[in-house]
Amino acid sequence: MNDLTLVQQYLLCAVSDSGKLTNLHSERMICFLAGGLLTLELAGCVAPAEKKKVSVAAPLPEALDDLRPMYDFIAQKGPVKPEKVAEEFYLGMTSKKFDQLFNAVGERLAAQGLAEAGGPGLLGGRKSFKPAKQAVDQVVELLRAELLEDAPITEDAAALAVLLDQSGCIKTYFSPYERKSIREKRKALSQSETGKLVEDMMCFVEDLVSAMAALTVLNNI
Amino acid sequence: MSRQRSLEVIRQAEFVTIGELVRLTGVRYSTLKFYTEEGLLPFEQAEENLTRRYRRQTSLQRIQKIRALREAGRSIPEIKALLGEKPG
Repeated sequence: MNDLTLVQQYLLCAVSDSGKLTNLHSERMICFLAGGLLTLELAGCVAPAEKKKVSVAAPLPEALDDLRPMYDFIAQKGPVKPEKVAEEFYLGMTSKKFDQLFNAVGERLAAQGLAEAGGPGLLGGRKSFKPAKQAVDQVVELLRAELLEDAPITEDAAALAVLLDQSGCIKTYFSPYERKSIREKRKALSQSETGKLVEDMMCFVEDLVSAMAALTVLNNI
Repeated sequence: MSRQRSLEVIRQAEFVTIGELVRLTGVRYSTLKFYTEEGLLPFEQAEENLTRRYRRQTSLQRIQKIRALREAGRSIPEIKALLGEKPG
């Protein structure tokens, strides 16, 4: 299996067996957006700016072209809060922007034979991307190897673990026993520099989920 | 905290981690861990670092051999006896 970006790995794990990510799964949708932002940040394309904002830091490489809608939005707005990026893609009048981003990431997976694209219907919209079982297995097994080994974990694995945890998907792939081991490892790491980075990522995704939940409530009043 | 290495880099590396072996072979982590614990998959471990490092080429050959023997119906104790307990 080729190198997959964080957001591509997350999509494989977060969609339903039929490849759908519906609006009923709000945490999964927000974590998808957080995954996009973290992918751009890990690649150095966006960087933290003052007042907890992010701004464009480098050109977008071809390998990350599926994240162009998000990258272009950040580039256009200048330094912008992550919550604003999520709001733009998650809370628009229609789900057009979210669908565009989701379809772009999914199409990349489909082009590699890792997911099977399904049509969005006559009116357009969000497609489905039924993941290949082998692809999901490999993503999860690699994560399992990193999380359960007595060895330093990589930023990529830590970020994916945070996204799966915050979206609730982790229960699908890791047993209660494994989740306990992961929690213990995180606790042991909490005093180290690595642990601080993981905690920062957790806070970032947690804050994003909370902010979007609050805005959704306000929008519905 | 480091980044995951790309497949291109892993394919050239002398040593790989167990996670990288998962990527190279498609074999489950639990299976590779079991092979390691049974002494079928030799590794090196630096004192100051707990990371197990596997010689890429030797390990890939060894995993291929173990899988072939498993498919031929051999049990793990038989494979251990065939390959010898010592790395090589």
